Amino acid sequence: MGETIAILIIFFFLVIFGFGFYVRVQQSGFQRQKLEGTNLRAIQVAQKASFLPELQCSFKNVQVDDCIDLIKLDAFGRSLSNSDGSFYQYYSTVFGKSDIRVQMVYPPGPTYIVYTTEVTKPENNLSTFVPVALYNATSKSYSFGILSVNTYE
Amino acid sequence: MEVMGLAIIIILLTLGLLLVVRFIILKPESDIRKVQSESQLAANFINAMLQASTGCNKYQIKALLQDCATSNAVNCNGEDACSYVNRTIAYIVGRTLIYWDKSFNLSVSNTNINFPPGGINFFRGDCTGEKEAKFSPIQAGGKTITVSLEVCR
Amino acid sequence: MKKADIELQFNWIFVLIVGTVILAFFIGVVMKQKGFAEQKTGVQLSADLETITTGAEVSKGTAQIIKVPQLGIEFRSEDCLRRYSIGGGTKQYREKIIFAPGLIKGNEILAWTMDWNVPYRVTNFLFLTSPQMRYILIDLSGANELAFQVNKSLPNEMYRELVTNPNSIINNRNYKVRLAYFSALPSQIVVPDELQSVNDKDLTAVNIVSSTPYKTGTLTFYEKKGSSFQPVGQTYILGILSIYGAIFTDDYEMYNCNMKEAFKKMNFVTTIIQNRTNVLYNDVAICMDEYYLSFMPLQTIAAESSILMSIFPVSSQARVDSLYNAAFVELESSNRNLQLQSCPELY
Repeated sequence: MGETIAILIIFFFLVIFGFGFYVRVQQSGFQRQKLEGTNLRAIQVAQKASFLPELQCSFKNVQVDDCIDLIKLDAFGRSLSNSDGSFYQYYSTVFGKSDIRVQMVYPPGPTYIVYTTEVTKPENNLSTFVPVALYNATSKSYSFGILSVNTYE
Repeated sequence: MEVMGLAIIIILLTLGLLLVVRFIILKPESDIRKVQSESQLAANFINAMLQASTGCNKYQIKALLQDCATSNAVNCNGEDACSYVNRTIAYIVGRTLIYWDKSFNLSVSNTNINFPPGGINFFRGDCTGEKEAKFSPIQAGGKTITVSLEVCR
Repeated sequence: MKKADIELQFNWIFVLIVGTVILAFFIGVVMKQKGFAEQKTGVQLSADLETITTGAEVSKGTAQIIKVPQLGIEFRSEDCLRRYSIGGGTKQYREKIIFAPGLIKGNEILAWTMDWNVPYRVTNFLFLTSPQMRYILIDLSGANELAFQVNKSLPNEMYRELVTNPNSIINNRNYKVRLAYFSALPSQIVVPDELQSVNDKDLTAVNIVSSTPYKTGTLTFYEKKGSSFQPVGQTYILGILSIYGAIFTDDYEMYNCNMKEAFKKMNFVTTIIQNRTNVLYNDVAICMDEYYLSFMPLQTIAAESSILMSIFPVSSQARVDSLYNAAFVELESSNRNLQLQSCPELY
């Protein structure tokens, strides 16, 4: 009888220990998944920014990948800050908590803010840099630029 | 007898724990964002760089490389095309790949001739492990110039 | 009774009770874990679908089969709040434009992306369906060019066929069937004999009326009620992609809400194009006449899209026609002229 009870105690101890261990493993799995989700979101935002028709170059209505039209870029930035807020609200659903800029590297030039959010305590800041060609339709020339996308949580 | 049974259970549990620790907790993290980002970086960098218009009579970098590989006749304010394009690429690389602390190997080479002496090469860090690479051939007067960028992990 | 006998019986009772408690505990844990795992899979799949739809969105012109767990994906729209549900997870999507049937069943999804140009690229339309869902294109005249073109353009992975006689259709026991009639009269929109036994909610129809070049027209959505089709509502076409959308989605509200979202995007993209044209007008003097001519159609597109994004399809016929004219007649002509003059194009 005593032995049976002793065995049962040890058994339940093992079960509780195993359960506790399982919870710890699950927690570690969740952390990993959360980080993966954050990384995926960063990729998504970078992809969306790279392929936005509002910014992409097009010739004869054919979109050119990895190319941003400078006039569109300037107009986009101005529309985000000038309009009644509907423009910004729409793109905040597209980009979420992120900061997207285009820096003209060569020839040296300004940095254009495409989109930005006010974040008081940015967490898990992930930066992605995408080299792009910047096309000036007026002078029909290209510059070398970097599209930088920072995503926050 | 029961004690022996318990001992076997504990041995099995320990083995199971070891396997869990090895395959789940110590599983190497896959950074998909880094892989995606570096793959895009290599491809986009060369495309954007080749299209960029320079201060040398607004010739694109691609055109200057072609001239460098053939007659080297273009005069860029007293400088020949090869030196000018070498300097320009160095400027771009310095403000991007080097600034981001990337390990990389960027080279412009020609299989037929030593172009220019030693070729145009920029490298940083150890590039012996995994890498993302992009090769871009350019035709120049019957010769082929290969612009390649390897971004290393 | 001897003490040993009592002890033995007590032992058995004790074993029974403890055994039951242990079994019940483990069964409880297993059931809870099963539910938890299904929910987790649903949430994971929901997140994966978000990634898939974003990736598919940016890669236009592609059709791909994606393997998914057999949980079923539901697409719903309530007051234009569009969402999809998988397992236990529901996700609302706002800026994406996804045409899909109410339920996608099976372990595969067909994802097809096309870019919507009006006439410049506005956004990508994403079409999702199950290879198990059956689409039947019905061309009663046998000579409808649009029916032929649509049948040719739809992805090969889609389970579809083009017929001239609805009564030749055989019931293949698909979980859902969608009929697309081309320029049929209301009296001709009938439930084929073989499909009478299909559940009302699993058989829907749409009548597509459009003439060359298939950029405008009307759509009438039908639902099965008993042995006949009843009209749900009439809406409008703008571009051939909206015709595909009406074929893929079996819900009238979902179609209209997707189009409203598309008009909203059109409005924003047009604002950018207008600003760009303004800059080019000021900076490229030799081309300013042609840029000036494009101001009016751009303004029309901006104005009509800003209204359509709220009211579509109510009182929309004239607005859609006006938009079509501004986009595909006037603006296309301006852009062609700019190309001929080697001027920077509008788009």
